[in-house]
Amino acid sequence: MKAISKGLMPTVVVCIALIVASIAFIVMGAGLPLASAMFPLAVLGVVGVLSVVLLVQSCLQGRQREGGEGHPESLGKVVLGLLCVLVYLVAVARLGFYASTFLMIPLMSAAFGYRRWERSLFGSALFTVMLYLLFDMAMGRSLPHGWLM
Amino acid sequence: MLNHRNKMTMMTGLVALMPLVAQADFPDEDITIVVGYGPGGGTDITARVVGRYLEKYLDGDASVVVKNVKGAGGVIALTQVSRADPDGYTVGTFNVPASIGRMVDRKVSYDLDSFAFLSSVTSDPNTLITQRDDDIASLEDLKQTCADGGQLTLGLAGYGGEDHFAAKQVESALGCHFTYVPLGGDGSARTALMGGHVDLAVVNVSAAYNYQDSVNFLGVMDESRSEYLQDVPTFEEQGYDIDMASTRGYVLPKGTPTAIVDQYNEAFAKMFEDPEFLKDMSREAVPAAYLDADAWKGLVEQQHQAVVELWNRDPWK
Amino acid sequence: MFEALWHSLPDILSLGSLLAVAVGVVAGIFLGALPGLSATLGISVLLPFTFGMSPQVALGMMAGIYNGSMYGGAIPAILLRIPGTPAAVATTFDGYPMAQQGRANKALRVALVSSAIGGLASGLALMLLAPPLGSVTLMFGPTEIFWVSVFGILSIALLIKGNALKGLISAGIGIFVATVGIDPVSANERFTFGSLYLDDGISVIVLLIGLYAMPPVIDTLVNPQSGEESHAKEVDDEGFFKSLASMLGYWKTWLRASLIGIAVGILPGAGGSFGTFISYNEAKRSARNSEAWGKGEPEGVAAAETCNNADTAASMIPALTLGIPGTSVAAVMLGGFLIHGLQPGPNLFREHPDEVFGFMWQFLIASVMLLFLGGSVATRLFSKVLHLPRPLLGSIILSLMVVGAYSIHETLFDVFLMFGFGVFGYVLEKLKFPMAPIVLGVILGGFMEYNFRISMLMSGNDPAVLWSSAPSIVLIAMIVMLIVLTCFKQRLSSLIGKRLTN
Repeated sequence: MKAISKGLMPTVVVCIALIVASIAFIVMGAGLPLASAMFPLAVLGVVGVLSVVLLVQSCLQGRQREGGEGHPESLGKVVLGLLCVLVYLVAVARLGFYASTFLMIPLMSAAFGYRRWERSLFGSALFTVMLYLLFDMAMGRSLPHGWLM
Repeated sequence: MLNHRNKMTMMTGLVALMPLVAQADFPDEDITIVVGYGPGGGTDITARVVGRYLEKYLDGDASVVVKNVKGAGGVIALTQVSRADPDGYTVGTFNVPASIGRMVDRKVSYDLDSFAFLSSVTSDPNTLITQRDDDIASLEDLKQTCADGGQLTLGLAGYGGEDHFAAKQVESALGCHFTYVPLGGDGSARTALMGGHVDLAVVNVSAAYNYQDSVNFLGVMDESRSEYLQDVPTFEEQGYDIDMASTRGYVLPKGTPTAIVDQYNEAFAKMFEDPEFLKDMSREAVPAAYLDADAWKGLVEQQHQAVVELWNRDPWK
Repeated sequence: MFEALWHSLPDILSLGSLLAVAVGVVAGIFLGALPGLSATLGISVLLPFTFGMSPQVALGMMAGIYNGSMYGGAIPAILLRIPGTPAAVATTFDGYPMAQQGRANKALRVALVSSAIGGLASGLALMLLAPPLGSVTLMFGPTEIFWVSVFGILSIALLIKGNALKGLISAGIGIFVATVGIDPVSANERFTFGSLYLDDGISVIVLLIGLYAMPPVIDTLVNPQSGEESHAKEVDDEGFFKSLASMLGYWKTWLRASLIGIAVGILPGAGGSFGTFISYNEAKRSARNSEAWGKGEPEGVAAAETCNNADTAASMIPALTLGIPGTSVAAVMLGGFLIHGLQPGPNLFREHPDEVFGFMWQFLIASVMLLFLGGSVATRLFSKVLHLPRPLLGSIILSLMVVGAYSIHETLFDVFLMFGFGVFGYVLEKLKFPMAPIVLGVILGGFMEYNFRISMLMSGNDPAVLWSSAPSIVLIAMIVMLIVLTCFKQRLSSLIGKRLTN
């Protein structure tokens, strides 16, 4: 029983999300002049209808299929990974690209299992300096700067 | 450690000092020209040429860098400029009437008072064209066709630009009604015309004069004939009072010390006495034309009024 | 004309010019190979420096960058399944499975040789046929281009494997994303949430980085000891010339892909990249072993990579003859021409034959150089990347994703947008929604809508305009043929299948 719900759940959730999103965007686009609204609303309608069909289909098939998609036990790790990525992006916006990248590479590597600090620190420093030379110096295109650098 | 009040006092002190310092030795750091369009386009190339001559005539050893802040028809760039420190180190590009059109048809956080207008450096008049072997070979023909109830399509770069405003004026002056076909750019509008996909097109002279073998010029929308199209009469010569051109100029954020503004204006004036500069500009085939700060500000205000009137009467979206 | 061609040659063979092309090719390979960096970025960075260069050096470097980057995009597509450019999406279909089977070097070689061949074909088209092909561009108005985009959309349908519903939903999502921004026909803001940053729509590069790079990055992070070590071990490393000999059988694919690439390249506004999907589908359709495609068929890599290089020089044809560039790269390159006072138009070839014909030679030279420079750069340097510890590799790719998303418009908005697409992409990927239809939808969706509405505007809403010109009728006939043949083939194979099982 458990295996079934594992395989079924994510698809169902995504289908519902897609249906809700389609409806939300249709409502949002309904205020536009007809010529502008026609094409996107038609596409959204098709996406919404297809999502409903997929929802029904996966509910029917879900009983026969074993829940193979993804590794539910690693869901926590995936969310953690995405959160780390988000923290890094916010750091880029606040601290600046170079400082946060220099810190992110060894920290992220360590957090996910690579703990040879001297190597990862050296590699990170080399990589960051290379990017700095390439972008800020050679190309005159600066990457985001912040509190630190 | 400084407490908040002390910090504030220091800041105010610094701000008060700034104009003096600036006057003493401006420029002593890099100047940035913020271009609202992508690299390689007309506004970008003009800014890069102007940048090199600003370096020469601003009498400092600072260099001028061009930064492309593409997006939203130049609105993002002008927003940045309007919010920049008014220290003379951030210059914006302002195209008339395109930048004015964006002030009217988009929600923007600046107005004409947000800027100190420097000079404009180019003026590229509009022209009305048809296909080489088209029946409509003159404004008279066009007027006749319209009077006979002919349905005509007119290609243009997009709404809310000088080509659109020009076409509106042609419509009312000649009693026509066009179907507008926005084609995304001057070049595309001219190409669609050459391929026979639209009947008429309004484009800038610079985008069309190279194609005289395949295009009829019905008239140039300027006070005098274009040096690139000596044989083409102006609209005024043909009895229609229509002037329309795209001009590119430069702005500083409001509140820039007058001394610095003056320094810029002197630099622009000197530039136009430099034959090297004129030569460099002519290579890009964008007609160089100098308007000093007052004249240009006058043009901007006049155009702004006209655009607002048109928008109120007949909004394009 | 041929006199002018020969006359321009000595200058081009000078050391400075050759060096410029070589530098351009190497720089282009790197730009293409790093996800998010692109030839457009490289050339636009180069533009300000070209003021001081001679036209030959500047244009040569640009030709090199353009050619190099189109091949460079294949490297991460094959090694990591992260296409370096939108045009390399189709390369992942067979390139990545090959890498998983331990045939990465072979895949890279096929990509390299095919890229060079596509580049040569395109350069020859530019050199010999620019003016006539320029007038072909004139024949293609909005209605004709609309049909071309329908052709492209059809290739989405053909691309879909597995669950057709999921594929269609993906395509729909992509097409919807394409409509975000200022509506190009009537200037209304659509789905921008009042943000200026969405006015110009969502960049396909931002979407591409998020969708394709985020899932593998998250995977390398959370599964440090994954079973994909086989990557590094080469099973059939047969050496360059031997593998070249084994490629000669692809000549039909090379030829077809080159023609498709050139044809799509001369269409203004298409962005070129969807040609690779058409090319891939056509090659697959005519292959005998079409069920092996998508599972590591080298010819699939050849079809995609030939095509994306074949539109390089071709996209310069409308740029030089009509002033309307076919791709965004061609648009910045046109800027490079303008900087040197080279105005596009019929007079360009008369007034500046040395520069223009020289540029054409440089395109050819760049393709040849690619063959020599590309192999060593890719195999010696980039395939080493796979030996990095996985968490380290993941974090380095992550930082490059930020660089790529940021440098398109230099705004952090795009970086967070990329993250959003990344999370979305990760979820869809795990649920086996295909990614390619999304990308193709974004590329073609807006294009199709725009050209359809412009056609209607021009004709006063008379649908008859859609089949009133000769090129339109030819295109419609091709589309019908494609549908009929595909259905017929499916019928046939299912019939045969039934017979066999009976």
